[in-house]
Amino acid sequence: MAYSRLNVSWALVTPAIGFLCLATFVPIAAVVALSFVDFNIAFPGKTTFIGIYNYTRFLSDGRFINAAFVTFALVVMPVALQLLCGLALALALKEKLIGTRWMRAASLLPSVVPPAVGGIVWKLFVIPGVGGLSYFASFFGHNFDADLLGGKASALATVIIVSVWFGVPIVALLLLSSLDSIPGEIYEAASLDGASWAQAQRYISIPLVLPAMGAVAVFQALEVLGIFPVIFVLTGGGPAGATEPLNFYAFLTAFTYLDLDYAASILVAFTATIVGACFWFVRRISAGRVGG
Amino acid sequence: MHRDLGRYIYGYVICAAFALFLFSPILWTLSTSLKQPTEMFQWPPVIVGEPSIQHYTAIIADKDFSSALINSIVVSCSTIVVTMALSVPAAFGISHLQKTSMRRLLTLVLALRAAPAMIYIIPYFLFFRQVDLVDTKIALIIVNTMFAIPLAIWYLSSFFDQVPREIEEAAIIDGASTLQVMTLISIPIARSGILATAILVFIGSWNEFLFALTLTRDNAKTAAVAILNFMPFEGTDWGKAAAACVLMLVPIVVFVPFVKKYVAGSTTTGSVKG
Amino acid sequence: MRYIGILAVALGVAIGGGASAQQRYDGVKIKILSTNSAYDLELKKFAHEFTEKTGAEVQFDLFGYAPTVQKVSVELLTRSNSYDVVYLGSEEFGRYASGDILEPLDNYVDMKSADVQDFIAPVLRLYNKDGKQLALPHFAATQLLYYRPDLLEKAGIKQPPQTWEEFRNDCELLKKADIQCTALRGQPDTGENIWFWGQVLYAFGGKYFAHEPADLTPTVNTPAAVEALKWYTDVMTRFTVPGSTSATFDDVVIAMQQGRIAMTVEGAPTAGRILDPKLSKVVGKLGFAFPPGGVSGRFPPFAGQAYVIPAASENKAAAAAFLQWATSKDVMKRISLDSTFVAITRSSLWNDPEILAKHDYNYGHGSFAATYAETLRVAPEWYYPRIPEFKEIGDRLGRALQEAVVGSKSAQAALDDAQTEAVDILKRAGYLK
Repeated sequence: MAYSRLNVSWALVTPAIGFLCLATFVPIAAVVALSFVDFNIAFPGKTTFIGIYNYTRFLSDGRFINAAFVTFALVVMPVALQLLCGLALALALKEKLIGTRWMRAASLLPSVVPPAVGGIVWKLFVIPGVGGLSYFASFFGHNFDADLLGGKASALATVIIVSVWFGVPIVALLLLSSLDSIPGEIYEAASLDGASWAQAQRYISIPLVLPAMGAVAVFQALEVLGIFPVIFVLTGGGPAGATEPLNFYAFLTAFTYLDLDYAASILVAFTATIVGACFWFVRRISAGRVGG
Repeated sequence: MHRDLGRYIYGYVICAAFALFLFSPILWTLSTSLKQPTEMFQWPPVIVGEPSIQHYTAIIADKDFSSALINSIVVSCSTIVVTMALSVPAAFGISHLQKTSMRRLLTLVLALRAAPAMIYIIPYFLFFRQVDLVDTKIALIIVNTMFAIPLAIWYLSSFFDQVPREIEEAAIIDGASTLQVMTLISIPIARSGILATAILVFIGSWNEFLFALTLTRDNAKTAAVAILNFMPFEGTDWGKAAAACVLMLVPIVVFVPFVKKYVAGSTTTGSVKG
Repeated sequence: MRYIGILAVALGVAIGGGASAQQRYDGVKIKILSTNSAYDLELKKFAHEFTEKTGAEVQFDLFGYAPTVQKVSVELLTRSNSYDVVYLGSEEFGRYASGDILEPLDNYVDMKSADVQDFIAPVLRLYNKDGKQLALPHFAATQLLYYRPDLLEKAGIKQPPQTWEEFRNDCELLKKADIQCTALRGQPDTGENIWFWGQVLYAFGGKYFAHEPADLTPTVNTPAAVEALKWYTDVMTRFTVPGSTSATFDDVVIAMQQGRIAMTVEGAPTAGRILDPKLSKVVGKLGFAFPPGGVSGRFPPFAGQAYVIPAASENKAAAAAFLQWATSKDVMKRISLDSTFVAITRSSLWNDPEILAKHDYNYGHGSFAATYAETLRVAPEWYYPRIPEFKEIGDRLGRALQEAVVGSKSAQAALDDAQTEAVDILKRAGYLK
């Protein structure tokens, strides 16, 4: 009886998992295969095996090397800032002060905005001299008309800030639910011992959410380069490649230059690195947890 | 400690700062969408002079954008149907497997979500070209379903886990088959979770940009991509672009409060499990 | 069936040159992929006339410049049959001219007819490959020096700059008089900053290749090229409006149109937009002159835009009929009178009183039409190298320019890196060993 019910369960699972495996493993295998051949889409018959040639091209491709650095910057800095800001916001929202409760739901908005829309929203916000940023600066008597997307550093900083904008709400929400699960008695006990609110945060809240932050960091590291549409709309990867991460470079290589095999090798290297780093990190976290 | 001044200062300052950071760009877009063309690039900038809905009437009348909006709705709703048809039974099944198989399958599902979307773009482009599905809604629905299933299974299985097993057992003793248990007992009990998942699937599909950009031309173009056409060859029409952005945000704004509880809850359960 | 079609076309040609009005294409749907620029948008308005005349329906898929270029490359290089008419800028002509990607028009149009001879000859030649005509261009472009005599005078400048050095000196004088000098294209793309760049490179004595087409060794980092880039970087960093680093042609146009700058060198076709009576703040205030030059002379940038027919299209005859209609004298004239479009490719229209009344801007400092005609006469047809790989090299070089402007590399280093990668590209393509 129990046995046959298990079989039914497997039968229910199979279509979805089967489709999922088919729809993910086959394409990934195809990309890996593509990265080892010389492929011209107009003449698929002439495809030849070229081994790791495409991967050796990385070394002499300045644009690839630049994109690798940008990728690093666009993963590490936004994730770090998201965690920091997300924690700051979560600690504030946890208090449920009068007039701030609506923020708990509403603050989620940026993270569900369509990324292409987010790109336009921010482009509009930072138009030199007449955007929303200039409007707010005018409150403080500043005549702010700098072209943020024109300089390398400021363009990268803008993309990072937009990336934080997208990520903070979800991080804050995740940390908030972790904070909400801390029993109130712990704080009461601390209060009886004479701890101030700030001390309670420093010695109770923060240490108790730290473990959750590791998992959130991995989750966000995998998500954060999903801002491709933002870059597409906001900077187009410029100026001078300052905001062009590897996935963006691969996209252009594939669909502007139709160099599909080289694009495939970029994507394989990119994916392997990101996923590999995250798995390494996850293992370290779980090893740490077991050891501790 | 509750009377601690630090708590109030911190709470209000941080909330105010984040409210400004998180909402001002969106509010600025809203204000731009309501501006007269002459106010658009006025110095000093203004929030709104004389509000006008001319940009909204213009983009709704614009056949290009309105048909893209309809495409977005059709693609997103179809994605919900296909995703749920596959994921609800799968999640129910997973939640009724032995613990080890369940763990393995959920890890697999999670791992499949780890690969960045960009890795799929070339093979899907080549495949859909081969089978002549470029610029069709079907292609987008397949891709969006592929991205939605892991998420859906992950959330749904945690909802099915919460269905009290005693009720299910009682039904089986009364002679119900597993399928009957699922459709008559578990699904109704987990319905609010299923609805929340459907909304999350909708949002994912509604927001999808990369594949809509690459796999469509004109017939199946979705709103997320059509919005780019307001930044055309000559002179971005910021008023229309802003109005289009606001229209695209409407369903999102309507749904967010509704799914908030589930996003937070089930994802943390997820992170604990993983 | 095919033979009947060809016969019918031949008959149509025999009867009256382009007057293939009798030819019907009922039930055919011509799909067009192009930019949403003035000409396309106007054409879309008039397209019902073509449908009435021939029975063929026309569907326009119009996008911004960058998405269009990207979609065109996918459609053409994959030999897709999804479109029957596709936009092609002459800067990318070399990329698609060989390999039977495009359908020659010679099979459908009598190239010797008076109607075809009416096209400005060098513009027509931009789309000619080994004697085969692959398009009838609807857009002819050179660049002009647009300047504000009133502002120049305020800074004590008597006449518009003749050389790039003078241009820079005048900027210096304008700056002293507290007047914003200029805006120039900064967006890295073969069709954006490289279109401007070529004339500076050539004027300083540089060129892209050692000896095209015999010796395709890139020469993008020669001392002359480095000098040219130093000039460009200097002007871009000290004398341009904020935003020039990534400015597209339209940003430059708006700066000029809104009266924010004293002069610029921009596409002649943008005059219609710069002086658009609905938006412009500089109507009546502009002078038009030949773009500056240098030690090697003057090289006004030269490019065209056209619709081409992919060889894979299944409606080639109908597409060719559409192309003829879309570039016909009558349609072009009406489009020009109805919009800001001035990139007219037909000689006869440049003598048309109505066109001249609308678009020959002349405020006492040079006639727009005369200056434009003069640049068209001398602009080098080899302005853009025509090898298929130039798009990739041009884009790479465009980035090098931007790298120097934002200061992440010196002019020399930026061009050295571009040279190395250009060599790589040409080696992979098999031109170099």
